[in-house]
Amino acid sequence: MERIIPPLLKESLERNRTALNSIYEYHRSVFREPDGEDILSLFHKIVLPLYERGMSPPDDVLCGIFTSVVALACRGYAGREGRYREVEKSLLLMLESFPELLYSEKGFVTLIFNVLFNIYVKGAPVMDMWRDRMLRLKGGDADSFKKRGLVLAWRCGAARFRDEALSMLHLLGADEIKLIFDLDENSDTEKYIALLKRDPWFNKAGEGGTPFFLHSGGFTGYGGEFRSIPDVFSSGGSLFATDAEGLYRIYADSFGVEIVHEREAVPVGSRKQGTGTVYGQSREIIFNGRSYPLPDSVEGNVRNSATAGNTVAWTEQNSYRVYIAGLEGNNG
Amino acid sequence: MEEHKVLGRVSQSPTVPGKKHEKRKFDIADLYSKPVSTGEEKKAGEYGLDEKLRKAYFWIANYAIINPFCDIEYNDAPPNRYAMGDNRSDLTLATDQSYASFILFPLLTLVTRKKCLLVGGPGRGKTSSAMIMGLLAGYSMEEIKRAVQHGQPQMTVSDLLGNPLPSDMVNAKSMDEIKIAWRKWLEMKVKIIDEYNRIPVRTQSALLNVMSENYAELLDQVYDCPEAAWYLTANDDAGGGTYQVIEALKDRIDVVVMALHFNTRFLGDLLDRVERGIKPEEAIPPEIIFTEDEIESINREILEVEIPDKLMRRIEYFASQFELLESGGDQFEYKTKDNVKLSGFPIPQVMQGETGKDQLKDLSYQTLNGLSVRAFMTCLTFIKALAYFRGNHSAEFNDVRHILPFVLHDKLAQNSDSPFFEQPENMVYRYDRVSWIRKLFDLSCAEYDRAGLDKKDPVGEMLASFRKGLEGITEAEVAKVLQQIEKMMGEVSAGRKLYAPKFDDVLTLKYLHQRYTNYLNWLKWKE
Repeated sequence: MERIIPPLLKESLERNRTALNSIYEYHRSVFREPDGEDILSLFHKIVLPLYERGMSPPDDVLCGIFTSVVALACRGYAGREGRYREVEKSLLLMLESFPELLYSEKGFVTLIFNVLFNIYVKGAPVMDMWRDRMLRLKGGDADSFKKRGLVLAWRCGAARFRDEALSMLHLLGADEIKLIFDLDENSDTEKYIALLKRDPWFNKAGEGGTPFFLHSGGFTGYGGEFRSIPDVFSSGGSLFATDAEGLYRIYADSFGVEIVHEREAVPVGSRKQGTGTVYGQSREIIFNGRSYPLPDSVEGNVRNSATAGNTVAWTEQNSYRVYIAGLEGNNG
Repeated sequence: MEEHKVLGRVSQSPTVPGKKHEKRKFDIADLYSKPVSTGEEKKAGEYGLDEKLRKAYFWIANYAIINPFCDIEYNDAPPNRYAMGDNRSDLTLATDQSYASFILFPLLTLVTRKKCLLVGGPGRGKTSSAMIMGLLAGYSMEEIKRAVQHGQPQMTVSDLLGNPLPSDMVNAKSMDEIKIAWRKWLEMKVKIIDEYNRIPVRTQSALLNVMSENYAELLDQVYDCPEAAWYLTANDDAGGGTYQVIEALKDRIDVVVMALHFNTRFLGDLLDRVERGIKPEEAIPPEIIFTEDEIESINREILEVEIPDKLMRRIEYFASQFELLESGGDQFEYKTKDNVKLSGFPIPQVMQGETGKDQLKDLSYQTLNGLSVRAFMTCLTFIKALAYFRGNHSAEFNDVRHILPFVLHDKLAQNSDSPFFEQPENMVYRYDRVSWIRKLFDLSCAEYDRAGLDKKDPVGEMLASFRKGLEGITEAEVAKVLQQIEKMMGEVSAGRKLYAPKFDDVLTLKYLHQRYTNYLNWLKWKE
């Protein structure tokens, strides 16, 4: 079976043959021997739509695309031996849909893969949501693409981007805000943004009286963060988790929870923790003096807990997870 | 099918046991020059196309052509040697897989698309061998038979290339309106010219055009031929036959192989074949027939075979032995055999005038010419092809040693008046060209090792540093290099004797001196 090779693509490949072969050689020497034919197929799939549109990317961009392809294949993220078929499928769809960015932005392939992969770990449907909405939010330059992507990632549960995304919301159009946050046609986006900024646990559905229950983390052997059962504490208005070796900051809001490795140590003296707000035996959690039942998925064998504003984090004796509860209020 | 059984089965894989079959090297060019790999081809030929090539070789060697010789010898352990006869000639029992040149070279010619001359007495299988190569390339027996051009004294240019259509000859108002019915063989990728030394000189010139430029010309009409493997046969490679072969045509031949005598111990095999009416060319097993794509792939894979730097240096050293003729010119650059040859003056006569050097030891005196660029290129291609055939990704010393005699057979003109050939032990090299060229290479390598050139090569190092580019080199650094060059020139000058390899070194140094001087001048101007 012959591949379709537009003349422009052939020219580019011939011109960059040494550079592209060197990129492959470098990765081959660093990683396990990749399947050359597989890399060629993946690379071809990515660049062909560009050349079919008559777009011949600059040499450094073409080499950048190839570098990303080889790196992804060598690490087993894409290609015949790739472990994340759904991510790869979404990646190809995104790249085909944004040819102008693939054409002009060096590192665009890696950027999109990283976003997709980080959202995919929250669940395949969440990744599909991010991808589909990005496809509907077409148009604009690389900068606006990145801004929309980041806000949408936050909306999909990347809680670590909350502050950054909030600072960008005013740069987006009302239609974009509505699409990203599932707002009605007649919604007041300004008011909605104000509410989001004021309270991390703002509940759009108006179920202000019901806490959000979330969880994150897990044992390193299963791809999680912790080597041993973690403890949680609060310090300076933020929540942290720690196991025997590492320190992690907990980002949580109504869209999701994320546990991110923290490089800077938090002084022991400033750490606050206690089990006072979550009661395992009675299976309840106390917010502002009011009791709420714990969900059935929680065992209730509480190890320790910590509170920051209206967010409560706790761990359990037999679990590597960090549990989060958040209640809508004005003190976020 | 019955004939296949009689002629034997294709060898089982691996034909080279114990050899590691490495993966093909990655090349982005595969994206635009190769069809998509489906994985099926790997299954079909788990050992790669080099294995298929070896299988073809062994089928021909074991069953098709009765040629029980192994003159291309390889050893992986010290072999047993026996001195035979009054001359105490050396016979070696090779310990590694060895090959018959008469079968190996036509096969390598097929996959490198070069031109091979098969020489030897009648009935030695020259034409059969050529026809088998055509069949291996996927042509039918009928196509091959139609394509073989049989040289004969009445052969005209039209016989060779084609005829103008008679109706056009009458009606055409200009030459370009005449359509030519080109001969079918011109479009084939295997071309066979039987007994090429029986073709009249005028027709040879037309043949030369096709061989060298890959196009045929008749009545102002041009026909472009595809790249092809050529097989020419002759009873006598010295140009005998009905007509003298023109020099330019001989020069276009890349490799010459000789059909050795018929070993009478195998007469029974021949008889059996005659009694059963079997022709090997009609019984080729389908699994050793190559498609056009396969030949293309092999060709590409051959080019990927590496020639290690140190081996390349040895080849360079050998090739540099022959061009210098010190009294051939006054200016340094013109002290070459080529210069004397162009003047028409007899080279041996000029050589006899040179008394300063030991003509026994200086290899330059054994030849009447140097090597052409075409000869170098052919040598390198066949060296790679032989290494590939043996299942290697890198050429070895013995690959070079075996290729040079067959490629340079007609390219290195022997000066049989040289004192070297007067020595009783060397007289045989006057007629045994293959052994002579191999001896030349051995002597060159011995000198190379004696001079320790594997360890020190100051000119090579200087050239390598120059090839990195001049950008960013300071005035002081350039001055240092110039000083080094002058010092090296002084050393050669002090040595008095100028041997051929030094000749190329000195000219290289002169060139480098010029480039660095120009660069220095530019640096000064920039200031």
